[in-house]
Amino acid sequence: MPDLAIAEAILSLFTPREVAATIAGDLAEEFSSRSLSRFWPAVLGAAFALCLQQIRRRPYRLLALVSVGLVLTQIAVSGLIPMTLLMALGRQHGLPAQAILSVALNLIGSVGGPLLIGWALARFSPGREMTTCGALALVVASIAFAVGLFGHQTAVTTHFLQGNLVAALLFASYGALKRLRPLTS
Amino acid sequence: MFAPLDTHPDLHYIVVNMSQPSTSGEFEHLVMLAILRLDDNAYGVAIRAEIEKCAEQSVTPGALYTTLDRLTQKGWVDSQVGDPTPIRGGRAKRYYKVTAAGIAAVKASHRALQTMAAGLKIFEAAHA
Repeated sequence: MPDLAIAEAILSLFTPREVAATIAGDLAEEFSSRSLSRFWPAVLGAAFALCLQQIRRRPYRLLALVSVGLVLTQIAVSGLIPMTLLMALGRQHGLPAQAILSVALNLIGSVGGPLLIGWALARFSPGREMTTCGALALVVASIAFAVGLFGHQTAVTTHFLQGNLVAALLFASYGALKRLRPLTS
Repeated sequence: MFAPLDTHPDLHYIVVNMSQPSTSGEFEHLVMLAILRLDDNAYGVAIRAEIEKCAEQSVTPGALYTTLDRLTQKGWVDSQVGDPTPIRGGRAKRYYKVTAAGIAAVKASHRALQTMAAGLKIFEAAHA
């Protein structure tokens, strides 16, 4: 018997918990007797289909939320670049206090910014938290990869790339956390 | 700023009869027929098996569950949870029933298909 708790958690990202439990039970009944190797692809396939359905149900609202989230993310990530320069300047001139302040601001910007945006996205898309945060994470990660592939490897682009990847990771995690939190409480 | 519509003689109104039951899509139609055929035993695994057996169509779990969700949203299908069973890791079955609105949609789809197919030579040859 596969670990149904994990399967249920994956499905719960895109559908209510009670529905996820029955789908996980159906898949366990069907595949545990026939072929266990087909169980996980079936779970992931069902989760993907449920995610696409959520996107199809209100595509414009999702698009608007992701677009706004993307703009805010890029502002947050771009805002980190001057902070990085400030930090470098602080190091050059031997100003540890300024450097520490820059690191603190950097952390607040790179972690706090995406968390705030993720919170807003999750709040404005009840029931579709993971889909919205996941979609934004994919877009932001794509930008990061594009910058990594085609951007000149300067301190600024490297920082921009890192900022985007951190933001993408936070968005996906925030969506999953927000979606799964009612299940664990 | 804007004049009422009825002051514009050049504008026409299109009246749509909304009382007609809307028709279901092909896969929705198959799912509802499978539920009706299975009667009291219509849950995910059985519905998939029934469609695969009768319609000879391979059905992915994702397609089935999204369709069941859509049918529930439309009010064509209703569900209730059964008792948990050990073979399913303690997870309950969700039994589906086609509602009166769902039956009307199935009938409308079936009628539409029959009307469209009536008189076509390809079907006459098949029956001959």
